[in-house]
Amino acid sequence: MPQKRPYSPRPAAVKTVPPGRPAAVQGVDVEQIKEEWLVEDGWWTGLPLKRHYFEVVLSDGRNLVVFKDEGAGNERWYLQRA
Amino acid sequence: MVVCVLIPRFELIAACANDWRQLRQAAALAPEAGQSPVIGQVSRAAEEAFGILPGMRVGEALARCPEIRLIPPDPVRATQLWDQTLERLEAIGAEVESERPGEALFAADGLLALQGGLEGLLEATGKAVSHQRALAVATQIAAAATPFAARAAAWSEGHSEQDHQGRHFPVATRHIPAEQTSAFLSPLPITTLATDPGVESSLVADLQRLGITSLGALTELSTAQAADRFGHPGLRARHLAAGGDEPLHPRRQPEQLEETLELPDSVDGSQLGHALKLLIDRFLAMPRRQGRMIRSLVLSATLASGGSWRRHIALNQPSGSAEILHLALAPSLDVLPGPVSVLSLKALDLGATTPDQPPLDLDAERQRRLRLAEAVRQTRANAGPDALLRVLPLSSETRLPERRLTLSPYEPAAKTRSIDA
Repeated sequence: MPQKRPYSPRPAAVKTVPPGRPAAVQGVDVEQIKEEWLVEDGWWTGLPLKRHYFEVVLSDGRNLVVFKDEGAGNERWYLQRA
Repeated sequence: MVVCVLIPRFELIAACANDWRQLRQAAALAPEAGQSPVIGQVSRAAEEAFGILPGMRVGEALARCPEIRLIPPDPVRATQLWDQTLERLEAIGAEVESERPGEALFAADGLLALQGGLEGLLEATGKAVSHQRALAVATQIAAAATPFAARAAAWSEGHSEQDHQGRHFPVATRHIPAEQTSAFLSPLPITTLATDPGVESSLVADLQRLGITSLGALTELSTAQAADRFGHPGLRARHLAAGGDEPLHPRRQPEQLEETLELPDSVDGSQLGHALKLLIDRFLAMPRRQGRMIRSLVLSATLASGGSWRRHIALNQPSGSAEILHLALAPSLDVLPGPVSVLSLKALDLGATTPDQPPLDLDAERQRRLRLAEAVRQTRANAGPDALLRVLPLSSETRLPERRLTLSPYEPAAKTRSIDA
């Protein structure tokens, strides 16, 4: 039986600026937002999925992908390899 | 009839060496080097006056009692002292079972005639364990019909160190006649089960949570109820609480296969590595080994700063190879807390005189698969069932990254087309 999955999202501490764009990830400032995209899935089910992805470059040079989970109702941020 | 010899806080007593009067004050075993920062056994004064318990973090113990004396552990001395104690018990005819230092049990039935009855046997036992004054002060002896009842009687016996008047046999001895076993066990608290090494602390906690607070209350459950709620551990606990008997497993007389290397100039680092190689060569060259393979051994060291250090290493396969022993033992040197003045190697378990023979098989692919399967088995045995996983593709076109791949246990015989992790 499959047990775990690579690329599983991990909760992340993200500071935002209006209108909800990431300004810092895990305490490190965001230098640039390279790309952003929206993923919506399962809207026909009782568990719709809606994620707002951002590919960001941090001030320490790292390139990360974060997303805001807008489908959960509490709008939490996550880090994910994509 | 079973006799239980109990020396509470044995490792703490051993670490005190000849200065056992430290135990009248608040004292505790300091954490071992390379282990988590929690204290070991504590003195009665530390426990009763300050509520300090074994396993407590050092910081918390110091907060409760800033004057507590932290005594460096001396596992080598504890082992030597306990081995001497067991040998002295075996010298009076006892076949001893000992699962942990400080506690020994033996069947009394064959010794009663030899020692002139039960009183004579208990006196002889007391003299046997009183070879050190500190042990004489602390020892408690009990005789009962079953091992569990004897343990419970030894643990429940109160001990007063102030009563010691310089006599060389223990103060506390107790005898529970067979017909009084159930009456003795019934009112004892359920925590008495924890005196048995085979009972998990989680079972005791579960019983307490369910309001079963005494051994008598446990025996009021039917076997079906105990089995249904707690499984086999619960059935065994109920059997013990009801005065059920279990056979003892006396230890085999250990063969003394030990080599020691004294290091006049206390060494550490690379010099210690050379000393280990020399010690291994001498150990393997001992005529008493008679070519037998080593299954498990103990590497111990006396530290130049005082105290000692000890590590038990079990080999995956019996071996008589110096290279393999060095590979197994060398990493332990990295956690030594300081320079070493004496290094020792002792065999605990020996195998046959020849190593396992590989099968005669001309199929190279099959041999490779067998070796691979053995490597997988050993990796999982050391690092857990999730140590070796295979990446399986699920859906390459999904926009959600976590749905593209999954991880599954790696099996060498599987013939799926996948990427090996």
